[in-house]
Amino acid sequence: MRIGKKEDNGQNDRMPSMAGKEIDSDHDVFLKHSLSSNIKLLNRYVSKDADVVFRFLKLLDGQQNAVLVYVDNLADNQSIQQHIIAPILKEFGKAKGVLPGPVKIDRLKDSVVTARCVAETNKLNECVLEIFKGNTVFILDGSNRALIFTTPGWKTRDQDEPLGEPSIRGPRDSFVESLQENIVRVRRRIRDSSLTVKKYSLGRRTKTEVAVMYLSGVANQKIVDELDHRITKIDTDSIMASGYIEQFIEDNILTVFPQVQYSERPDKTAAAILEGRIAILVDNTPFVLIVPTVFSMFIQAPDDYYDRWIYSTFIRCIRYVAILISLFLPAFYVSLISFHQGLIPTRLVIFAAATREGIPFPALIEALIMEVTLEILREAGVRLPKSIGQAVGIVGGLVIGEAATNAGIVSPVMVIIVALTAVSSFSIPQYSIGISMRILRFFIIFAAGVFGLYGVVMAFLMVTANLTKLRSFGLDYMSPLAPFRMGDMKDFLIRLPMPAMKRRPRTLKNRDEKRQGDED
Amino acid sequence: MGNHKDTVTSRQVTIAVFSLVIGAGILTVSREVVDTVQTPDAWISVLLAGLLTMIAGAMSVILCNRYPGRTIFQFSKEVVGPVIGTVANTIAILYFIFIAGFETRILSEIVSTYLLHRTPEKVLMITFIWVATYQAIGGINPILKAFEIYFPIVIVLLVGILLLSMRKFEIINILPFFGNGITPLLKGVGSSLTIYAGYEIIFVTTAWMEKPKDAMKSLFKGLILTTVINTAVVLITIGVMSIDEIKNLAWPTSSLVAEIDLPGGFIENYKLFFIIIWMISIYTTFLGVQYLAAVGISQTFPVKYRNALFAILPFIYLVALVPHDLGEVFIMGSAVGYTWLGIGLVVPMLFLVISLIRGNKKGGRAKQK
Repeated sequence: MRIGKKEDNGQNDRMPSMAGKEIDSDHDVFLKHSLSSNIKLLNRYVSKDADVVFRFLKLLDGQQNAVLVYVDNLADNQSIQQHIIAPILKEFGKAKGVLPGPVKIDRLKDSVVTARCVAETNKLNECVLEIFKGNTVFILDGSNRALIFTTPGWKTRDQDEPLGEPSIRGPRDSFVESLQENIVRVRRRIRDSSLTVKKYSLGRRTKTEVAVMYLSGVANQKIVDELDHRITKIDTDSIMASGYIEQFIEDNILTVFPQVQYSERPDKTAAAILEGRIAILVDNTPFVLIVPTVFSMFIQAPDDYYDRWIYSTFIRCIRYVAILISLFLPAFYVSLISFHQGLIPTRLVIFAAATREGIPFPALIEALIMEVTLEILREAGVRLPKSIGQAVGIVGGLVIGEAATNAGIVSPVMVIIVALTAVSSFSIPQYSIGISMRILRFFIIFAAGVFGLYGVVMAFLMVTANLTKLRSFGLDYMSPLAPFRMGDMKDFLIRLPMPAMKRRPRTLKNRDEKRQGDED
Repeated sequence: MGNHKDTVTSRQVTIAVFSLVIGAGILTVSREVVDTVQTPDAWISVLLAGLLTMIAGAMSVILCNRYPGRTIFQFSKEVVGPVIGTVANTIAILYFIFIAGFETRILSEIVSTYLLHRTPEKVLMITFIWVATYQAIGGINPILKAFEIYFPIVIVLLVGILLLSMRKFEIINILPFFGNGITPLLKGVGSSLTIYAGYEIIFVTTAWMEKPKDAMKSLFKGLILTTVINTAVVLITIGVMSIDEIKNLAWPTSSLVAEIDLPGGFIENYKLFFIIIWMISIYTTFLGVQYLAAVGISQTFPVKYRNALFAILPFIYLVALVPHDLGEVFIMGSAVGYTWLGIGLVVPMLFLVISLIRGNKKGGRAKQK
């Protein structure tokens, strides 16, 4: 019964110029009443694709024909058989016992087929699009309307622990590559009627599904509208991952700081939505984007909220120290050693001078050698398969570090400083902000090598200048530090106990600011 | 105007006043005041000068609130007529450029004295001006946000240093009070007033405040903080080093820091922190006056803020190059201060009086609160 499109090759040969034509979305082509002409129309677009299946059905003992069109395995063959074909043939296969006259498409849709009918259309390009989405298109002879049934059949990866953002006390589930499953993961956490899901289809060729989720009763409508505007403005032929969207919607291109946060943790995403932020879920990506983003969000980890507040506050402070170390430590060392020995305590000067004895390079070059080596090692470790990556780590970290010191190319103090810096930059919960820190570190080391402490301070001023100019969807990137908002400081450097966090961040200008309690 | 997007919070105004007033002046204030007063109670002059500045500041806020939503550059034409208004604006702009140049020069002097002995001062000046310009391009909101970020750093380090230097404070050094009567103190008020230059930022920010009613409160908070710090610096410097020693020091405040000695302390040299604070304070002052000059140009003449900002850079640089040696830099500093007496103190009062007379004649265009 299964008839591939090969049978129609004769037709295609007669109109070769039409085969494989691109869909012209500006001019709608409408379906006709005759099945054979509809098949011809469809063949213009899908005939070259070996995996498109045309499944013909003979109804009423062959008096009437119908066809199901779908992509093999993209649509689930079993559910097509079970929920579409079987009920139709059972009801209409024999002419006996059926109401006289041709089969009515409405009756078929409403009371025969058990698969879910998502749409009904008379436009050809819509049919083609639905076929490639993994849905099944049903066309009945004598009707110019096609029914579209959802029959998604591809397998998604089983969910793993969130690899990029592990947590100790948090839930272990993570997002996967399927949009639907990801939406479900968020919904399961927020059973609120105001949780809104808006869908977009992006990418001229990929037609990637993108969902925007937020709490309509909480989120700032201005930000929602702005995001809607920015997403609909995206005009590109492909969206491969959420990173594409991030780069299209970010406010400022000329900066090393990420202005959109991503997460593969459903709990973190749900928490962000509950704060009044907006999540952007993209099909085929396990990374969900969260906007608007401010700098302090990159220092917060989900565990901060799962653990008790004293511990969380302590960890937060450690992270801020880590940021400072990762940005300034090597630069400080370079500037003090090469310019201002007078500012270091005497004992330390003698010690540092002793360890640097015989080192052929100035401190700047020494620092750059080590930092560049470290970056290369890190990159090699990330790109290689896991098993080899570890070997690279051992060879790089231990062998090169040890050998370089023994050979007298770099001083042991420099190795310690670079290692401490690297560990600090990895202790920042979000990978993307760690990258910013590492890039800036090179800039600051350079400034220190050329201008000493003056250069370090000037570099610091420049970084602040950049940070204060940044915005994410109209929000000041440095809030709540600048502009200072006392209310939001409870979740900045310190994390106050849960009962004290009665309000959502005020920076967001949410519609509903209350988290707990009734008093105003 | 001036890439102004958001409203300005009250806290930002307070911090802006602090950031602009605390600048190069505080490095040398003790010597200048002691030179004029010649008695150990010179710090009282600084306190009095602070109070005077508050009065002038209060008048300025009253003046600004009569023209809500507009900066002094915009309403000056209305107060004194278009011609005099433009002239007054131009003088103010030149004055801001002058301060900017002075701050640049002081910075390069400090850096080449304490940090980079061999780097040419011109290189230091140019990098400094460019870094500030990079920040200033963003307009008033990023500038104020930057001030908010620097504020805790400066205040913590500053108070820390002052407390540490208290160890060598000798009460005998600040006695006697009123040894030569009040006359020298009043003379000292003149020279100590000069370190309060910079509160003029409120002429611009009041227009964009979230709650313009709070302008007065914010200004006072800023000025009180500044007065306390200025007075404390002079008082402690005198208490630790005595007036005879101060007279011979180029940078008395920096020498004060050099005196810090904590037993058992790992850090031997606190100048490191001092230099960081002062680079940031001078930077914030520079940033503020550079912004004021550029925004003044953009609101007086048909020039865009960004173009104005770049156009004034060569002039700032030239001003910074004018003094030949440190002595001339200090003369320049006094000149800046005395110009400020005219522009920062007299002009607002004059404007307020004129505005009150004219406003009453027109009957109600300007609302007074």
